[in-house]
Amino acid sequence: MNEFVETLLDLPWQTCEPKPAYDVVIIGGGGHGLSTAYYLAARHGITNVCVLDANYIGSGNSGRNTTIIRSNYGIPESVRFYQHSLELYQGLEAETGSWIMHSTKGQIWLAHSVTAARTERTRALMNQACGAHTDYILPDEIKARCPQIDLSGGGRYPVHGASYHHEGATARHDRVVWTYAQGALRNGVHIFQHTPVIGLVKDGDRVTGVHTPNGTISAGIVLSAVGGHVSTVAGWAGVRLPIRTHALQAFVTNAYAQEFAPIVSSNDLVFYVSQTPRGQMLIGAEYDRQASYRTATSYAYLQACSAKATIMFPFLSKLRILRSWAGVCDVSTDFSPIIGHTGVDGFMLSTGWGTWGFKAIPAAGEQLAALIATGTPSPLIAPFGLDRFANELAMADPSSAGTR
Amino acid sequence: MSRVVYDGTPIEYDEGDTLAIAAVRNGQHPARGGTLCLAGDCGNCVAIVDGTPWVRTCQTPARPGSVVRRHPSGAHPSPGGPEQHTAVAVRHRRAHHVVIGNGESGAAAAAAARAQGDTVLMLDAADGNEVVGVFDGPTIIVRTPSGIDQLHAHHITLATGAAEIHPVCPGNMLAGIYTPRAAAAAQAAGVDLGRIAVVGRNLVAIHGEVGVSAIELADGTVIECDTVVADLGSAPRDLLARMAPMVPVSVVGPAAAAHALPPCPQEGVVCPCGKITVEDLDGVWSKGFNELELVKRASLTGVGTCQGGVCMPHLRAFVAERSGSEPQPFTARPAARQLTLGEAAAGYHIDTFRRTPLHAEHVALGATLDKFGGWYRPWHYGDPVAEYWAVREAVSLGDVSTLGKMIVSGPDVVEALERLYPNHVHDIKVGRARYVINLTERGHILDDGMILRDADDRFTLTFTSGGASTAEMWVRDWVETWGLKVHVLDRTVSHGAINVTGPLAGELLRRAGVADEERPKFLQHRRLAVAGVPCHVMRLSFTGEASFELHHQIDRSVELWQALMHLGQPLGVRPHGLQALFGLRCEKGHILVGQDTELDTSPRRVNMDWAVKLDKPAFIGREALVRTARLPDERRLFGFTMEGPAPLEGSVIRPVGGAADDVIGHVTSSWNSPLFGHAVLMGWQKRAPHADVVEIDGREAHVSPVPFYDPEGARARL
Amino acid sequence: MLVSDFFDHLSGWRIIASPAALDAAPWPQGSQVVRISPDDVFLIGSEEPSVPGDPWAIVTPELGFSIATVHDLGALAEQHIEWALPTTRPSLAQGQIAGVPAKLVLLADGSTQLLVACAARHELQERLV
Ligand SMILES: Cc1cc2nc3c(=O)[nH]c(=O)nc-3n(C[C@H](O)[C@H](O)[C@H](O)COP(=O)(O)OP(=O)(O)OC[C@H]3O[C@@H](n4cnc5c(N)ncnc54)[C@H](O)[C@@H]3O)c2cc1C
Repeated sequence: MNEFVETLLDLPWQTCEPKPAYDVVIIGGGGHGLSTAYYLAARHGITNVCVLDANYIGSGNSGRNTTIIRSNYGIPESVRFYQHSLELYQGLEAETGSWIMHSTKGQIWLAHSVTAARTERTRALMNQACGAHTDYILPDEIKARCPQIDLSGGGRYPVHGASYHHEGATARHDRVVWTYAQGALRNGVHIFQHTPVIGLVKDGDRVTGVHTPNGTISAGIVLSAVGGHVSTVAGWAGVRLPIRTHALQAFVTNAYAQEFAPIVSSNDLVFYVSQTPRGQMLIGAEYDRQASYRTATSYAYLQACSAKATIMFPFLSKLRILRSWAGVCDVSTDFSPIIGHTGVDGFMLSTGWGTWGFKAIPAAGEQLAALIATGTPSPLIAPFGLDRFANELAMADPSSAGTR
Repeated sequence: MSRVVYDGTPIEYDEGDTLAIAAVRNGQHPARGGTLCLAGDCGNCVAIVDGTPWVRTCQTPARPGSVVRRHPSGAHPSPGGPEQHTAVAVRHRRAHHVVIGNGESGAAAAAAARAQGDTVLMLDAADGNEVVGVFDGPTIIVRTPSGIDQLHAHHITLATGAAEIHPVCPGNMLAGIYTPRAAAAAQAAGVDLGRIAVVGRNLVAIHGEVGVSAIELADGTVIECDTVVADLGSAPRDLLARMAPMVPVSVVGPAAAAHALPPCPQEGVVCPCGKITVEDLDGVWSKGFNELELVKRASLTGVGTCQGGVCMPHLRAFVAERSGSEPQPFTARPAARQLTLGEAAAGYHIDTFRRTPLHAEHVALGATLDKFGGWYRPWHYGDPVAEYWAVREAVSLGDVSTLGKMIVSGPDVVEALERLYPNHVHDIKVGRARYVINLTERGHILDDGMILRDADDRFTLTFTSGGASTAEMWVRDWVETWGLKVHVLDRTVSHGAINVTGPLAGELLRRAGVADEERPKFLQHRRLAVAGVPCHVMRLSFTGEASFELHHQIDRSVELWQALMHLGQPLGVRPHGLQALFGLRCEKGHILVGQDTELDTSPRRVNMDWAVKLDKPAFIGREALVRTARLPDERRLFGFTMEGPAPLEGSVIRPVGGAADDVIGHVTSSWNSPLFGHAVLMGWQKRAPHADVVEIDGREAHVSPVPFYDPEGARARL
Repeated sequence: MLVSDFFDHLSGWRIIASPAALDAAPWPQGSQVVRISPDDVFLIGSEEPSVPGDPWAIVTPELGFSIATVHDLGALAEQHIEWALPTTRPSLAQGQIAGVPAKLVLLADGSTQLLVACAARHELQERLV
């Protein structure tokens, strides 16, 4: 058996059919649904929980993202939240005994103009104040950390400087999903795959359960963690969300020897590149402008990313593109997540993870579980409630969500 | 005979050989073992060709002097150094009907289409046309010997045939194993394959060290041989069809046929790209990864060069046997055939950076230019402090050609502008101007600019340089939504604008032929000849000094600029860049939309309620502002002063003596004021009660009323 | 050479008026009418025109464009244009050429002009050589 297979932990599936009722029913077996289930059971002893997924676990964006973990955001609330998540990721292997292939790589966020340099300097200052380890660095240090870079940016995109996020990291996406699934299953949570929720059971204004093709399941609390499809599910509960759904694409090359150490993003060019533990170069950029639920990839995207990536890293031009893909992302109007109560009794949300929610899987699950257990949101997630939009307290952070 | 260099050794090849054939002709496996299909379906012949790793040698013609190296054993190839990449040509082509695959079914489909009068284009990898993918459009991306073709087709027929199934058994990664078609191709090329054993499903093991020495059959028979030809049937080559589910394509022939799965693999390598064995599949299955996608993801089968081409039939057979039901193939994604990033980038241009008509003047004056809002703009001309003083004490020129500029006219124009903007428009007199902000429907600041009335039913509008690109769409969308009769003409790139600013600005205009009494007063505008150039002269002020924006046709920009520089010489004129400008306006407390504002900044947060007239019945953002006006709102932009050097923009603002991580906001604009001798800044306090003194950079900063400079605005009216 | 050298500040008039008024306008003799959109005309090589059918018409000099002559339209399209060219002449086509927003004026005599905003001319020029 190869190392990758050998190190996998078992998925100890339950052998029973769904029960008629659970304390908590979680719709969506992505990273967020599963981590919430895990922390409910492991931290709060709430084990009468089931997770329902329309497909297989991790079939949504949690299994198709570019796995960047970082906390170099632009507003204090985000920096603190994501820093906590980054630290939970650092300890996840020790906590669960499961190898998620976590690797601290450092993230360089390039600036090619005076204005971008200002943004990156601002990021570093804000991060330092709020507990994230980020410095503004100059071209010489950038070159030392990433010798493959062309600092002249092909003449058009000269590098002025960058913010350097020391703790930027990656982890294998599927393994994160499975780690939480394993932990949840071991603690008695039920996970049912290929069980789509097709409607909500309501008692007056209250949500009391879910409909599936195999019948109805009652719930004390229904949590929607459906990635890319939240508008539909929230609509069943009568909740309208400030969310639009867009496809985000990415691609990988073949595998090459490990020579590219950091994660590099660009503020002006809006693309990012890193090398996976398997040696592939992983490249992405912005989400598609046109809102859509399609996961088709476009050639224009490959072109744009390739042009941007090769102008900064000429060595990439000889590398061969292996596979491109896309996921549909729920993007909130302020580019921050929406977590917690919805104003509808019995119905809670973990959404608005857009193109940036992989890094949040541990912290959001942990804090949401605590909210479900205690009824009160912790200071880490309280700023990210749905009511912030009505209260004119948006957590606007567009320049940080930008490149994953 | 010509030669290629294969792993350091020159080998000879025949005319028409691919690199893979050249290798086997010389008794070598093109890579390090594994079944050869010689049809581009598997990844068992990949090597580093002329510096590019992962090239299928079976799809690459041998050329004199080609240098081929095998990938390192048990490791990935190095990506190689940052050589200059050679430009790849791109062609946009159009075709009515494209048939992909020039085999029997393709030829038949083409003939049928031609019989109906279609013009047909045939593509086949064998002719050097590798189809990378079929995308929306539909557009077919083809890798050809001369570059990348983007082929726009009306109709696409996929006749890609079937791929032969590789054997999975112990020893299946040895050299000397062929599919029947590969063996035939090698023999047709005159390659001597030695002793050949042809086998089918009764194959249980292949023996040998590096190359094949014998095979073992189900009945225990051992046959000594040099070459194994494994005839295991085939599977549809339908990657392209599965890749583009929404693109209308017809699939014909074996590509469309359902094929029986091979028997469940028992032992050996299932996925040659990732060297995944049956043991690995069993391992993940027993751990609970018990469906096709989970098996694939947990074992990483099918994600290598061939994208599942080789392993898919076996993997499906494995899952079918274990689970009792036959799974569908997994999703296919581009690229069907690989292309390099250099090839994908071909013909793509990332941005277009615009130049103002004065670009050459700035360069000649030694300006440091930088990209700003899609334009190259002078950041400074070497001495931003001197530029600052020229504005404050003499006269200076600024190139503001990048401002958004628009003419609107029509019977409904006043009504339209009243609805577009939050301030009053009807009472702006002809010849007068007004500063305006524009809002989103959420009541948040989108941009700012000026409204200038040219006639009862005609106005000039300006927008920021950053807002210019979307301004026309914004106006047109709304006007059309409301069904109002308004003509709109964007003038951003057709009109240049030079800001003449400073206490001697009026004097410079006088020397340029504008009589004192002709000169517009503050917030007036007029059409005048300046230095002989017809100008729309707008008297505004962003710098805090008397300022005249001279808007003109861009063919006269250079002439106007040079005349003003010349005439202004005795007055001490010099140009100023953005750096000085941003400092000057900071002293005046003028916000920069996007720098001092955030995504959700309402007028009240930046103390600009005066720019909003809620007594108007309707304007964009009004409903939101009425609703949110009742909400408590602690987020406010303040002016601050502090001793010592100006802190960096972005510095955090803390309560005095507060904890290190107690952040109440950050500095949005910061400037070492040469005039005041201390720093002036703007920044957020997002928590009430708002403090009068805060801590920035470990020092105290004091809230100060803005404008810092000339609060009465007398200098702008001078 | 796909196109000739560019000539800056092509001199003309921009006229924004109601489509009906533009349809009926008596354009000066010898002028070249480029209909950019139903309400937008670029009039090349003429004195100031008038549009009697629309009192609100915006009529203003247009000097913001550069012009070049296309030597080889087929090659230009193959290398730099993703969209389909019009199949009839005279006609106007607008879109990105080598990534720069531009216009092609296909004249009845078989010749073709390329128009681009002066501000982006240098970018286009660099990309076409
Ligand atoms: C290409 C790409 C790159 C990305 N890169 C990064 C990155 O580098 N860093 C980062 O932090 N984030 C990144 N993201 C974002 C990140 O992947 C997501 O935010 C995150 O995975 C969201 O997790 P989730 O659990 O909320 O949703 P998902 O993982 O999408 O899970 C939702 C699940 O809900 C199920 N479901 C949907 N509807 C129903 C229903 N009616 N009934 C039952 N089940 C249902 C789906 O089957 C799915 O399994 C990227 C996203 C993409 C697409």
